[in-house]
Amino acid sequence: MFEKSEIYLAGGEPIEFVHNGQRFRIHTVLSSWRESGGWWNRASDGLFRPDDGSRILWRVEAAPIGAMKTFEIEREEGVGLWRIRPTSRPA
Amino acid sequence: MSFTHLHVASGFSFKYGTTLPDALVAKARDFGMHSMALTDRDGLSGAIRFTQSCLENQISPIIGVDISYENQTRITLLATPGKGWSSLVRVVTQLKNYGAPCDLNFLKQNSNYTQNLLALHGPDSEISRALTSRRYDKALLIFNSARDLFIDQSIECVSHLIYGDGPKSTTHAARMLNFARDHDLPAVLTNAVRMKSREDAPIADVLDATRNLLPLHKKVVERKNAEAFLKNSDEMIFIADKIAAAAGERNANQLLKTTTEWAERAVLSPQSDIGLGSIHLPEPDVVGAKSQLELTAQLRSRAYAGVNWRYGGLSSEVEERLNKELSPLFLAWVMNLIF
Repeated sequence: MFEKSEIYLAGGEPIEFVHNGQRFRIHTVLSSWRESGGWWNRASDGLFRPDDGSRILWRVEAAPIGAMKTFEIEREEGVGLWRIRPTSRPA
Repeated sequence: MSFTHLHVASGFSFKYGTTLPDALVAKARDFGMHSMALTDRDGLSGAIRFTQSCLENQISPIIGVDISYENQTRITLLATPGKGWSSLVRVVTQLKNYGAPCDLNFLKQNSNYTQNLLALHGPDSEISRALTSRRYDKALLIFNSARDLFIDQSIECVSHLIYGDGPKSTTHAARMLNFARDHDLPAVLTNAVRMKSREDAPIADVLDATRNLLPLHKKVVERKNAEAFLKNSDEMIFIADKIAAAAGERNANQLLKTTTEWAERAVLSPQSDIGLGSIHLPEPDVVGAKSQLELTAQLRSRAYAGVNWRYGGLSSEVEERLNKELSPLFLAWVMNLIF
């Protein structure tokens, strides 16, 4: 949980990250929020640390890069025949 | 674009706000804001100090009060120019005598005052509660039942970016915004401020514990994070964008525009609306005097009577001071201040 994560940002928001050695792309941010820690639970070291343990969280839908593929699904109207073929993205 | 905070609690919201009005006003000035509201909880004790520091910092004051409503909800009232300030004072005084949290009955009894006020239904309001439990019909009923009582009412969207979909989350703020849009009601953005900056959060926690007379614990502390502070315009636009996006709007322009319009409606003049710099003495007829001369004579006899009652007799020291303060010259000076 405390492992250092490799995160790629755009404008302060995460867009890609590496998890278990695999690079993921974030497709949707489901929600994002902020939390703070209970500072009174910490044993005091005499230093004033306002609101330690504050953090920002993102709940995201992500997939390994390359896992998302583009397909074309085709139906021939006359005979009702379906065809599926992989395609390159900008087609 | 300069944002205006319409919902701000100072240290005069006892055991709630962390910062004195002066410091909040100075921070708003540093942000380049033109106006700012002070809406302390259940009182107006900070209003004059706030107005004075607004004058010093060239900020236009907006004054309101965040009052407790029945069923542990809250509603925020803002004064409008003209009779707004005196009406607000009356409402707060009447409420102290009412002996119970404000309710619809109280508002109806005092409708001649409340009709000079604007109302904001925020994240702690009855409407917000109804929307939390998806009672859209009930929320509209509450809004409509108070329609004739105020100049205008608005839905107040607040997001402290907390987790989940309860009050002060972005999702809830968006739900409030959608409710307003569905029924064509005005919606404004505020931050329900209680701190000057994020670093004040531990003070807010201690105040929560003191108010509830309970030891510091997650359940006692009101905040989930440290977002209830006086944010600058850019930070507020960021929040506005988040809420608008969650509500499915293309941008936050409408929300921000309505907020600015409401701020403009509620801006008061420190001199002509609040009466700063003038002295308020009772009119002669209030104490049963027919003229200014009779009032002076009455003042003298009452003062002498008071001396006897308080000191049991007239010492030379007391008499000297009394004569000085009742001298026509001194009184003329006081009158000069008034007229």
